[in-house]
Amino acid sequence: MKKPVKLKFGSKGTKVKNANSYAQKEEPPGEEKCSLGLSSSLEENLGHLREIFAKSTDIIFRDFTIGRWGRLRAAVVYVDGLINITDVNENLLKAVMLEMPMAGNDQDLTKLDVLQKIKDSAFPLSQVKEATLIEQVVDAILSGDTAFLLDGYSTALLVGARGWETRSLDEPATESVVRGPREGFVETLRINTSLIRRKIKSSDLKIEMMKLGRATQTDIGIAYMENLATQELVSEVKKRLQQIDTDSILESGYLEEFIEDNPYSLFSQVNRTERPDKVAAGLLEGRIAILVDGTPFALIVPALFIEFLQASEDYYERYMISSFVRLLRYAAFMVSLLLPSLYIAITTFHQEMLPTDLLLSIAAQREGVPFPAFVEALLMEISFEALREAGIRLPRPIGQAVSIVGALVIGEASVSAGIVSPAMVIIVAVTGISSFIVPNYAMAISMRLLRFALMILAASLGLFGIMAGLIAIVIHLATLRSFGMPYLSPIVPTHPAAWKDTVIRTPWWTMLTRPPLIKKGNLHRQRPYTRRWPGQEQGGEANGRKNKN
Amino acid sequence: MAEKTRISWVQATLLLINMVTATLILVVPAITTEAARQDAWLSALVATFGGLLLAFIFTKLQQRFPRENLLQFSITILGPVLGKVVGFLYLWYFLHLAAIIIRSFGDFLVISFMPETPVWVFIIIITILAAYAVHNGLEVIARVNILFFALVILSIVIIFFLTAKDMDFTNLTPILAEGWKPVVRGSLFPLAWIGEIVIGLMILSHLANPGEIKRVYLVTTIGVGILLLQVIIGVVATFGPEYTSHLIFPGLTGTRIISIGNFIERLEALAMVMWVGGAFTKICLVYYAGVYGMAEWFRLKDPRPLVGPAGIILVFFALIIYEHFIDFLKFATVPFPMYTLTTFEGGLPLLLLVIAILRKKGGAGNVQKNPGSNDDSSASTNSRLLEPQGNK
Amino acid sequence: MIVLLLLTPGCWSRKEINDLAVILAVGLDQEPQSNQLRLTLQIAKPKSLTAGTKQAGFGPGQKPTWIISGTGDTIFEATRNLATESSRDLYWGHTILLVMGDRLARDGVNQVLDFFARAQQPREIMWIMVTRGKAEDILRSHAELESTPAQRIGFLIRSKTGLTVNLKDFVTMMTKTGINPAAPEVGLATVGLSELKKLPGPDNDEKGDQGNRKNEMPPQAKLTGTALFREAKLVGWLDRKETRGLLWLKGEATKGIITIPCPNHPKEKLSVDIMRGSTEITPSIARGKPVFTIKIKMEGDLKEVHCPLPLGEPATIHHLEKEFARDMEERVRGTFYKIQKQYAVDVIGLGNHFYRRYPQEWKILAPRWEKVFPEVGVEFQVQTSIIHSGFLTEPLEPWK
Repeated sequence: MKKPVKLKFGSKGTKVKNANSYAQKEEPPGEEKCSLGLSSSLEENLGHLREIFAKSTDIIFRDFTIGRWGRLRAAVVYVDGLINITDVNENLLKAVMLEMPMAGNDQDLTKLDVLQKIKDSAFPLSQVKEATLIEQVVDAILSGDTAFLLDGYSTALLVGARGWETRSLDEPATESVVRGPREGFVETLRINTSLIRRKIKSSDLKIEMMKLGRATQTDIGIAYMENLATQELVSEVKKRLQQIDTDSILESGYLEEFIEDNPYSLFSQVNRTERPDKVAAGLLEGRIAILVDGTPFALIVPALFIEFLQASEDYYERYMISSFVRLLRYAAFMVSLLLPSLYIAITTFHQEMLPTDLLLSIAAQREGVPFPAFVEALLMEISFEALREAGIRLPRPIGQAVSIVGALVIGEASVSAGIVSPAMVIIVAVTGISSFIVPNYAMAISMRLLRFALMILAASLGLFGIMAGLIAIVIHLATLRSFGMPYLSPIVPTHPAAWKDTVIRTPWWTMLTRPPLIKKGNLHRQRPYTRRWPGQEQGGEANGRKNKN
Repeated sequence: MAEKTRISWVQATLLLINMVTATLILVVPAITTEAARQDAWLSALVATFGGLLLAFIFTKLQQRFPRENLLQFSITILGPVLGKVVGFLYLWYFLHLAAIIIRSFGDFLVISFMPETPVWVFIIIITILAAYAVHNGLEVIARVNILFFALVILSIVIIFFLTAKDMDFTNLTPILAEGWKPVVRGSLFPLAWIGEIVIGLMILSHLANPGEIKRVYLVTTIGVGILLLQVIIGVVATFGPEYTSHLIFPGLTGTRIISIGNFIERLEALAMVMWVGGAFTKICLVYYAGVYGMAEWFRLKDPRPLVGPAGIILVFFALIIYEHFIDFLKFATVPFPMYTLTTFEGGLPLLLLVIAILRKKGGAGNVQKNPGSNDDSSASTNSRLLEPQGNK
Repeated sequence: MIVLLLLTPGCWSRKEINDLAVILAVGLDQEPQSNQLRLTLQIAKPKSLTAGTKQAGFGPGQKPTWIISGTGDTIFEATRNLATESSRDLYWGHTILLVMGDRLARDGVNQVLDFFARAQQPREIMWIMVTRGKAEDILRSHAELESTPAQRIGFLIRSKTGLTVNLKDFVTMMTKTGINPAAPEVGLATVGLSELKKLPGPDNDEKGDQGNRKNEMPPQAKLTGTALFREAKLVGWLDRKETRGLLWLKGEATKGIITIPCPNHPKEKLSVDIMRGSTEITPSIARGKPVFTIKIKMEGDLKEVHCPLPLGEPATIHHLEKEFARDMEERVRGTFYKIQKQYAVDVIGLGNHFYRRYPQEWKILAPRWEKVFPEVGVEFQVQTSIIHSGFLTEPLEPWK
């Protein structure tokens, strides 16, 4: 209605066409020769490549001749292990070495544009590209393509016969569900894009590619729905990605830190997931997904605070159950954030708030405990965190043993030794359980850190300290933006229309519009008269009218 | 101003209500009850009507200059010299008010929760927090306020229902035993607090839809009136007019007597939540008005560098403003309402309005609503909620 | 470092829970000679309350509370004196009871209540009570079912068999116009039978048995009636039966049992359990004098019948209701007579009712209400109804 978009940029960046050329500019001069064009001499080309790939034992050079009398010399170059060796043997080598000579006569080979001929009719492979620069060839080889070089031609054919060992599709370890698809992303970008494509069969789904990382040359896929994602958002994401100039992108976490709005915040402003269905849902709400080769974790932007407390299963399970679970999660979030600090504040500052019996019982438990409640809580919380960390890193069977030793032995022993009070053990245990209810790992971590901060505040100023801490957190959250979206929306800035999918989840047929993220195209998810068939109350209709504006 | 801040009418209303309410309900019942006894609830009604009058003045004034704040349009109305003088007076008022509220914030916490802690701890902490919010601008304050407002309202409702069993509504009778005089006298203090909605003149120029100025003021005044009425009735019914007038913080004492089934007892924490949540909004708003007013006065483009120095002044001022809480109570019962009511909340705005009408400055007095703004209010609000992507 | 920095200034108000001496009950007496205040505190001993050893905690020498006592001109001064005796900080936040000795109460209680209403820690919901004799003794009483005597008395009061007055109520009654305060009276009694009772034998007559009990069971606190105040000074007492009448007059009794003689067999009794009731006081002016109509409505259930009655007949029930009303009215009158004529303290708040209705007339009356009150005319209207008669219609009769 009013002003144009107010996206916050890192800087009004210089327009860079793609990351490759950007990276290239910065490359040390010693590697400059890479951008040389291919010469027409196979010998020379292979020489260059051998030089570039010197001391790389996994690069295979195979030169051979084509034709009945071996007139034409050719070579294939590939990285062992990145290619599908059967494909290369059967469809590439066999095709040019055996089948082609049989099909045509030798005269043709000398007269015609053999390379073109080979490309057009010899390779029974779908992905064949031409390249004229050595650098392109090198990149392609490193990415798993097979380079086919022919003597006398300054053009190489890059044959896509990739194939390497991949993990099979597995249930996502960090986001398992009771109901819902059990496939998760894997480390290969192509498989991941195919998983998304299988969910959204629409030509509006665009997946743009770029390469990031000077050394790693990591493939990055930017997926969005062209009819739903705003152009501003798409170009903003691209711009932020192109600004990145680093030598390595090994995981999407690298990107996350590079593109976040506020890098100093404890809160993650980018959502990450292993689940294709979650990415698809995000795309259909007008969000943008960033897929990174080499990791099963995709990023979704913009991300709102409430999304970190939602799980994809919420949308598959019956809505009442999902709503209950969400309420539970919010409660657990508060508990895990506040319980230890509240305990400290109440037992050391505001004892009057406890019922008399409880006060006496806590006092009785604390008889002989040498530490103040704060130190006690800190000890327990830190040892709990340590236990958790130990459990994650260790192999599963040992991890369980560690948990048992930690939870049972240390907990029990420290109580009977009088180092901590039983009440504190209960508090820490409840906090721990609650913190596992928060579905998003990033949010759980920031919560843990804040919990410690709040504990310190509670120990120094009681409930007022907690309030002050909460005020600071709330101001911070209200200030945060994720790719221009206020982080706390739709709670504040209030957007009641979007509340159907926040703390509770209303039935699907009432969620007629997409979340207000999208300002483009068709806001409506469904026609307002879903569920109106004979004999059925027009449940959705009234709502539909209201939302329609 | 450089900042293109826009807030929705709901945000503005909640800001103003929360600003007035939270401090109103802790202290005011005692002072009003002291004057009006069991008729204190009538005083609340009278104060609300008085508040509506003030709101009318502010509305008319703001409607003439929908996109200018108090300091800007006083210059427009009175010319650069007199306008600056008026602006300076208001800056003084904001500073004074902020200092009073920050100090009473600290005093309340010291008296009722942590007697051994020196008051400067609270003053400094809350000022730092407020500075952080003010630095981030009005939009952030408005957003944060919505959350706190929910907390405050929730606390008020919980307290009311939990103390309901201790209430004896016969305590509210006889009605008008002493005539209207004490009622009116008792209404002055709440009226002075309600009159603080004059700060709306500093924020309503940021209203997304200027046609909604009237609605903001109307809903604010009535909302405050209802909350005030409810709290006064609750307190007087619980304690009786005599005991109430002896209490310094009847609202707090109300939470202290909560005892349900031997395990929910002494929910003073609720009073603390209510107080901190509300007082924080108030401090932020007055602080904001002060800082942005100062920037306007000094013709600064960016007010942010002023946040820090203003905060230091506020802390200092809050520490020296009075020595004992009784001084504050004494000052607050009669002199303060008279002082603010006659000048900043009533007199000056009225004067400005009259001069503006005489000199025919500003809009015709009726910036009518944007076409369709009335029935489309939710839509316009909605578009506000997503600041970045305005409708294209 | 930051943790340390934050913690150092934070120690002002911080008190660990096991650094507190949790005061559960306060006793206030006046010293006979010096007229100084004697402050007795019942402090919880958490050690002996530990969950596992709770049973053992009741052995001799393992009392769950610790009682200390000190004197001073003001309560706070006494507190300071006591603070030197207690290794932990005195903590008032969980004080359940405030017991005042009658000597102090007769001298006026408003000065001592100031401390409790003013200070931040003591709660407004602590129960106020008066004892004949020394408050100290009540604090020393024994608790059988509850863990501490203070909690025991707290629960006794909560059961609403007597007047329930907490600090806030007392202060409200004291400050409010046209009403005088009242507080429950607490006394000591040997409650419960000893488990060590001897086997019944020819030697054990009733008296000897009781003697034994007295020796074996420590005395426990018990609500024994009501203390009446005028201008915060104790002036008189009501016994338990009269307290019941007072509760009805104040409209506070919602529970209770009335036993009346059977209509046809005066020797046999029947009991009615009062389920709910209300009291309405209507002031009016007759010939320039205030007159009050006190309307009491009670509903009850028949709980026990000892005589053969045709309870299936509505007429019988109506008859019983009338009996029931008559009995109640008698008791209410008795109580009112004592309040009005003997002590002349308006603990019901008739003056306040009058003030609400006739604020202008009250202005004249208020200064001499003390004189007027004994003379005011009161009309009682008691309405009762019996709602249920339990699972039986007519009482069980043996076959003849």
